[in-house]
Amino acid sequence: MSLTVTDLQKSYKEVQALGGLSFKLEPGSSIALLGPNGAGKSTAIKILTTLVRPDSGRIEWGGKDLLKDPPALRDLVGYVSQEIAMDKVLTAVEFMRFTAGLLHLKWRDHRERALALIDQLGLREAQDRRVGEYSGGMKRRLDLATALLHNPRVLILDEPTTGLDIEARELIWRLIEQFKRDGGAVILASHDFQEVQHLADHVLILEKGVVKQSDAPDQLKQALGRWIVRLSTHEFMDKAAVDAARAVFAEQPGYRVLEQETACLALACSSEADMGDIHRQVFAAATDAGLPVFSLNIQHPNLEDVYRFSLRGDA
Amino acid sequence: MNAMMMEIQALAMRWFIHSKRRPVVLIAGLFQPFIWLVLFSAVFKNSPMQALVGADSYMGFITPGALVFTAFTGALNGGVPILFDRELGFLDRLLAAPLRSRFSIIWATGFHIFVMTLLQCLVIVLVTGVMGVRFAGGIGGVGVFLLVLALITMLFTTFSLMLAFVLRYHFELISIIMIISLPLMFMSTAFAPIDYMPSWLVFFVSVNPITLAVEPLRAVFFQPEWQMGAVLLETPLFNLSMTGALGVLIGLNVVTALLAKGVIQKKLA
Repeated sequence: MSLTVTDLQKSYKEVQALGGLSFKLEPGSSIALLGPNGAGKSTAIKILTTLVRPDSGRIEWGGKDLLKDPPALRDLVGYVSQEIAMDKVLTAVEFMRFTAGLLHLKWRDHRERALALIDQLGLREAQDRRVGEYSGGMKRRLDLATALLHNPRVLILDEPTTGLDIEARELIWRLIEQFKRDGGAVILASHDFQEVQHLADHVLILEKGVVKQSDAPDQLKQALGRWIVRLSTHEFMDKAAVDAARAVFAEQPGYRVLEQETACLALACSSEADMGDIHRQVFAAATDAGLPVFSLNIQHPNLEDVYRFSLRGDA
Repeated sequence: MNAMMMEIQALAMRWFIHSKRRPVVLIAGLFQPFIWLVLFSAVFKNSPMQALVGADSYMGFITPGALVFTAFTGALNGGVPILFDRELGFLDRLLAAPLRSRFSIIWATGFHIFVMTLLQCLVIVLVTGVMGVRFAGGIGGVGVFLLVLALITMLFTTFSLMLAFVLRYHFELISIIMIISLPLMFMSTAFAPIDYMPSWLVFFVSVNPITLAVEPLRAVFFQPEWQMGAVLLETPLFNLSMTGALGVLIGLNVVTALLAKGVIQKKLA
């Protein structure tokens, strides 16, 4: 069964927080919500976790509209919130037991799984210590363990690795990947492009509640171009310098001028030429036009480029 | 055990672990009633005994008041942890959990406060017992004692939790608690008989839920032959019987619960 979200809309008075979010999530797949603050990611997650009721739209699982049955939606979902909201007085084991109670799971039947999750997340030695004594990373790991306790079909992660060291982050990534391999579906909201690239099969880029881009990460990058070129003619390029460079490359075949970035001109290039050839082409075009070249950076588009230029209307 | 009982048990267990790990909260809850028992007893030691219905000493007279005060303040503070949970984002965790009823949060909190109140009241009864205040009401009196504490606990827990869902920050609730707790206690018969009250205050004293809780407790504490229908308090407006007092307390609980249900449902929608 898949999760189908159709045309979710939510406004707070006159402000549109979400203006028609739709996607379909198959078992074993993942979708990432990307967007600046206020883009609608948190609103979408709050709707999906029943913390906020949408003005309209549907959330279906196996054809059943779960917005009409919020407890069923909550049963389906495991949720790791952006804020680490843990009870600092309880120990990890007590917190898992508390969570089991909220999920209507008998502790004697689920104790082994709870302890296995604690162990998988590297918290075994600290399992009887109060959560208040945990580091931020340990709390995040415990948070994920509680979200997985009832074997949810959908895992909703809001900035799950913010503030974690590399080891903890990779540990969490491995667990999420395992969850996907076991047939779980993942909804991820993150500002970490590496995380999105690593975990997401599909990306939705939101701005002011509206979907600006929706596709697989590689498709989005291909759509932007084969190369992204950043040219600086001076250490600090002012508008006049950028405009001069823009005039040169606006007419250059195979190049597309992207919106102005800070202190450089960004170009998308669809040429199949290799990096060395692109470098020579750009350098020659600039010097032929009498422009100095302070720096020249050429790379394949990454997810951050897709995000950056989507929000500027270039992608 | 059904699903709702499981979630209530989990939520209540959390509070009991808190109380076990932070006994200072429980002990601090006992401190104020004992201060009042000791200080007020000293101050009013020579007050006219005939005005103090049924008790041999002023300490005896105010023991039911101290018990109600303990239940009342514990219950009134019941919303504070919920507001902390809300401020820290923990309430969202609870609301995102597949609770069969979000009112389980209320039931669990009320149950925890009631048990803690009982423990505190037990200590007060034992200590005042050692100091000569004897409970005369028998088994039936114990039933009334528990019922009154349960009613006053649920009434003010519900009220406090309702405020916790309306207000945004815990200091707002604490301010409201400070504003209403002392007037409610002093505009009651907890510390002085109604005959001592100025006439303009008598109406408020008569309808104050604290009075409605203190009077039945005082009756079962000091009257071995107490009766449900016997008049406990004569006021210019009405004569209050135990049945009447308990009935009004039950009614207030129902009204407050309905009001809270509406408010909380609206907030949780």
